[in-house]
Amino acid sequence: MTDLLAGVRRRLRLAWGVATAQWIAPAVAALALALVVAGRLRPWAWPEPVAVGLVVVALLALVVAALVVKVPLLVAARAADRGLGTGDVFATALELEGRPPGPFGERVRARATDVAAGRRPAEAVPVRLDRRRMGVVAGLIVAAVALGLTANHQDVVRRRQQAEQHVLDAEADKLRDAADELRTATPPTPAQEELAQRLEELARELASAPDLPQGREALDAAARELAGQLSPNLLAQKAAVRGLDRSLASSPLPGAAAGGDAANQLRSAASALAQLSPEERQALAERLAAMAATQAAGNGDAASALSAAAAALANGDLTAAASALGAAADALAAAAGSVAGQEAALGALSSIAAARAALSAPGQGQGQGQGQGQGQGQGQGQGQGQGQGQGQGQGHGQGQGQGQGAGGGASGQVAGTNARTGSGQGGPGVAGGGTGNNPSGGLETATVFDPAAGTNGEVLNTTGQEGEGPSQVVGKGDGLTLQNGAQVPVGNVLPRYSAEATAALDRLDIPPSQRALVQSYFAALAEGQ
Amino acid sequence: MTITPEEYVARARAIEEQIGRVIVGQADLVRDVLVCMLCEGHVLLEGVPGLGKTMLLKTLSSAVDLPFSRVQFTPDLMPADILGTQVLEEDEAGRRSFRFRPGPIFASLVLADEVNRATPKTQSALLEAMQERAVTVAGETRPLPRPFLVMATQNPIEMEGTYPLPEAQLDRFLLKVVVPFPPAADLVAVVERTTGGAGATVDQVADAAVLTAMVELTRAVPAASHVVQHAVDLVIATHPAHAEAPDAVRRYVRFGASPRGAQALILAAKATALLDGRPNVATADVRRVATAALRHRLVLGYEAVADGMSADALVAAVLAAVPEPPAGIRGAP
Repeated sequence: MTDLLAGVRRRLRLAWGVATAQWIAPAVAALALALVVAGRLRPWAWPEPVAVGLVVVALLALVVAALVVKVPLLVAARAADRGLGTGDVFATALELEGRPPGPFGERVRARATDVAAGRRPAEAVPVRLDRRRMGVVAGLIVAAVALGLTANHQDVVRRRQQAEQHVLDAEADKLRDAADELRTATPPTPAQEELAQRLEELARELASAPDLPQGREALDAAARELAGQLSPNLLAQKAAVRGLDRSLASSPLPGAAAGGDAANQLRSAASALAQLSPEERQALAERLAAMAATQAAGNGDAASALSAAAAALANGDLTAAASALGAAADALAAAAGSVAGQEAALGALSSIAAARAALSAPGQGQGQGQGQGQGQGQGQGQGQGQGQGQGQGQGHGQGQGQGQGAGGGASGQVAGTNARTGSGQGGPGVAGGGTGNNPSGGLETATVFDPAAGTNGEVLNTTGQEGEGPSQVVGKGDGLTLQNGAQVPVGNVLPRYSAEATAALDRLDIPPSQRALVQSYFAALAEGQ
Repeated sequence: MTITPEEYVARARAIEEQIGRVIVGQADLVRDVLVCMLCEGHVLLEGVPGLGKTMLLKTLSSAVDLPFSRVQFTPDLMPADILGTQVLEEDEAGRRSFRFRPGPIFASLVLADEVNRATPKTQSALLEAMQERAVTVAGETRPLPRPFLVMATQNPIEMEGTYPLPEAQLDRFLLKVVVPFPPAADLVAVVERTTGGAGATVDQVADAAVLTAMVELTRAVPAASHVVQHAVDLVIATHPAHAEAPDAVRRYVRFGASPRGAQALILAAKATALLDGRPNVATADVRRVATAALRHRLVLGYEAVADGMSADALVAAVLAAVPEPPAGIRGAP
């Protein structure tokens, strides 16, 4: 009897498990199918694993529950009694155990043993399957498996999203690196620290952006914000400050030690005015006047102060000259700080532009069907005399960008052209360089077109190429940069142009050979001056 | 004296065999009456006249060697006619004294024939005897011989001049057995047997000691707890105010069975199991005797009479509403 009841116990667990499974299996199967269908409708990676996990967990839970469910021996005895039709002899025999032996105790046990002989637990506890219910479950499972095995378009979407997120994370890391560089390169100024924080904030926005367009929006917003901080006269400021620094570094002012920056040299010169001879003062006055001329475009305050100092010195008013030189030194120092801050902003903008370009790149390979792009590029052609300049713009997105610049003119006028075609979003064009002859005279008397002094060229809307998608591509680019009469002497713009070219050389996308060419070009110009 | 279950079965079958010499068929009826005797429980036989109720009980009394008395209940029957009375006697010395003359109740087997024809006062004379197995007369309680059981008959169709038994007395009958009309084949045998020459003779196959031992053995039969619980559940379901009561009970029953009903179920089930050769009680035994044990314990309302609802149908409804206790674990089939 004991063996039979032990078997009945196990059989009861099985029957309980099967019965319970028949109750929960339809719900589990329906839920699994719903998850698989959800994975077909939305680009979620979790529904199918969760569906499999749900089934596995439900199965395991059921098995565990069946193993741990309490089946008292008396319950097994009653189940065996009912299943085998023993007239409750097993249950009675169990209850009689431990009781005082009566006239029937042994007889009940003997009868229980007799009845149990040759009987199997399966006879006592049949396992019944609800065929219709299990059929429904099987159908749901088959449907879920079939759906899971067929190709899922959402997989492509997910992979694309993952790639986009990878790009976003990578660019966010680069922005953080740029922020770190801002902090570690030199003792950061408050402006640099602010820029570093802005870059880190932008990195967080980028990392949390759900897709590339929103990442690009964040970058664009940051770029607009930083661009707003830049002075339109930055290049002139930079050229004035750096040019004066270089000029004074090679030829220090009287009374000033070589190697100091312009502001310090001016202060030193101011304090040494009394020791100068009249001839030296006259020479210094002339030089200050020349220096004032170089600062006129980029640093008006310094130019005024230098002019005042030159005039005072020429008139022999040493006190006024010293005061003016101090003012000029302060103006130069302020301009140098401003230029440094804006250069940092430019660096940040460069990092943002690089990130923007990187975020646009994935669309090039995978942008089929989007069919929308913007062609926008900025090209700048520079030339001097008769020459041709060619620049190349970089196009991003689906389209290609191309910029061309050409300059010509006997008087050194430059007419730059910039045509840009293509679809997609164009990146910034890189200034082209040109060489040419200038038969009209020396550099001192030559005039040159200064875009900063004139008005902007005509803006043309160009039609881009039609994309692969349903939308029409709309491109926008700057049109021909026209000569607008803003002719200035070469000497006025040379420092600025030289500084801009120097800044441009820092960009990684300029080949080393071209860097050397540009450097030699401006070195030759400086020597000519 | 002790008796083994095998001897028990043998004796019981011998009694059944002796009864079978006189009573044709009616195996279930004979078995129910025998169950009552083996439980020392009183039995009430109800049937139309001529079905052999009295003959069955007389034959049963003939098969056992026990003091037997028969009381024909009539409307003018007085309690003293049953219990006995004090009579004034004068001895040889001329001294007078009261002496108790036992009535017919002082027997082991008392046949109360047509018990519902006596007045309630006389019927009530049986209450103490049936429950306490003792009689109190003139302030003195006298025990009745053991075993003691009352075998009563009543006619369900004669309403004129009958007095329905009070509920308290009905409750004291272990079983109420309805005597069915015999099938045609049995009726043929009855006619042949009763219209011939000499009647069948019945041998005495048990005496008081044997019967007492059998009664004790019946009570010793073990019943599992869930079997007892099932009997209790059945009784509870006869109460209309109880949640488990079926709708028919709620509608037609005024009062359900008393705790004696549960006792009767288990006792009768024990005897049934033993007579079947099984050493323990099964729920099936309880359900088999449920109708006979509960039908006379239900107090029906006027709606039952109006709708022709019988007590048997109500017990059947109770059995349907209270199935055998579930086996296995919850959730499993």
